[in-house]
Amino acid sequence: MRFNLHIVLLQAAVIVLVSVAAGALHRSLVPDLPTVELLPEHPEVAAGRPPAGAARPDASVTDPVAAEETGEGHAEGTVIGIIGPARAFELFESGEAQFVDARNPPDFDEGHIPSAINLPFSAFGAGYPEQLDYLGTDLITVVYCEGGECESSKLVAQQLLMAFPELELKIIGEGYPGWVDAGHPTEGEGTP
Amino acid sequence: MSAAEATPARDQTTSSAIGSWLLTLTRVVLGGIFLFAAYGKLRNPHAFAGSVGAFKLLHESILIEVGLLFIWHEIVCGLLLVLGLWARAAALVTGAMVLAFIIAMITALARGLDIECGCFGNLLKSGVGWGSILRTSVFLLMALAVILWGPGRLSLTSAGKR
Repeated sequence: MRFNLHIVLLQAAVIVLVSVAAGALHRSLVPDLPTVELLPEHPEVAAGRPPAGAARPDASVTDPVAAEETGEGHAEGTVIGIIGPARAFELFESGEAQFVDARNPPDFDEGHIPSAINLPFSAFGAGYPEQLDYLGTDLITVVYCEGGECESSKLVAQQLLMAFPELELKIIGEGYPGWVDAGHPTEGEGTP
Repeated sequence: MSAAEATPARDQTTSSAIGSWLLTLTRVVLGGIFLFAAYGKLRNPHAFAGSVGAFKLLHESILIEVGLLFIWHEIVCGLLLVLGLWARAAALVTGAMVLAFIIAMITALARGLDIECGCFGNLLKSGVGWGSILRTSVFLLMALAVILWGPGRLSLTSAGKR
């Protein structure tokens, strides 16, 4: 068990420095994720009355009314509208939209919006998930997850924009629970 | 030297040889696991950065940088461990990284987060739970073994001393 601790610590410092340098070099080669701005599209949300269980506003969410009053910045990057279950259902019935379920496969199997594509964030770890082949780029893409504080929708939306920069995206703020609570149709193993 | 004295000495040599080979195995397996983990993450660093972000411990603006730092530490330490070069130092950095990850997973569990661990990118998916904490703790013990008892056999460090 005899070893020179000073030498080991020095070597460890060199390892850290080399790793940091390699990481920094790699960072310069990796393109940034598209910047997205989440803007409430639903009238209730825009009026400052977020529905129960709506996604928690964070630094990247801009209230358009407040922004207009204060003259604060315009949306930076791609605007993604946060919609409620009613608007999502309108889009569902119109046939103009496709739905992307950003939850994990077990939750998706249990129940999901009919004909939704299951595309959890982890699927992008392999680079290009095959589910992207089933997306229609001419349709509005509505992404949803568990609602509440779930960030999966935003992360998946950013990855979708990497693949399809022109995609028109919307996020259901209340997620799948909001859709179910509104009594809209579902399919899956847990659906009666 | 009598036969009675020679036997314990031979036993000691045998057990020492077995220990050396066990250390070699531990070092190479640990390094291999880290290289495998890095490969799974390299294919989409942003996806790994998202996994790091899911722990809600770091600001969104630095996730990709932190993610790449982790990935490159895994590559460098993984390579050094497999080669047996600066193995103790590599195991020390690996151990520190693994310990940080264990703490992050415990805090995630304590906060009730239901998230993917992102440990191996998309190659091996598993959620954060006691199972993943136990698995990562085994990696920590492996790193500790290399720090304490060295790289074992077939290491570039020992080859350089000959």
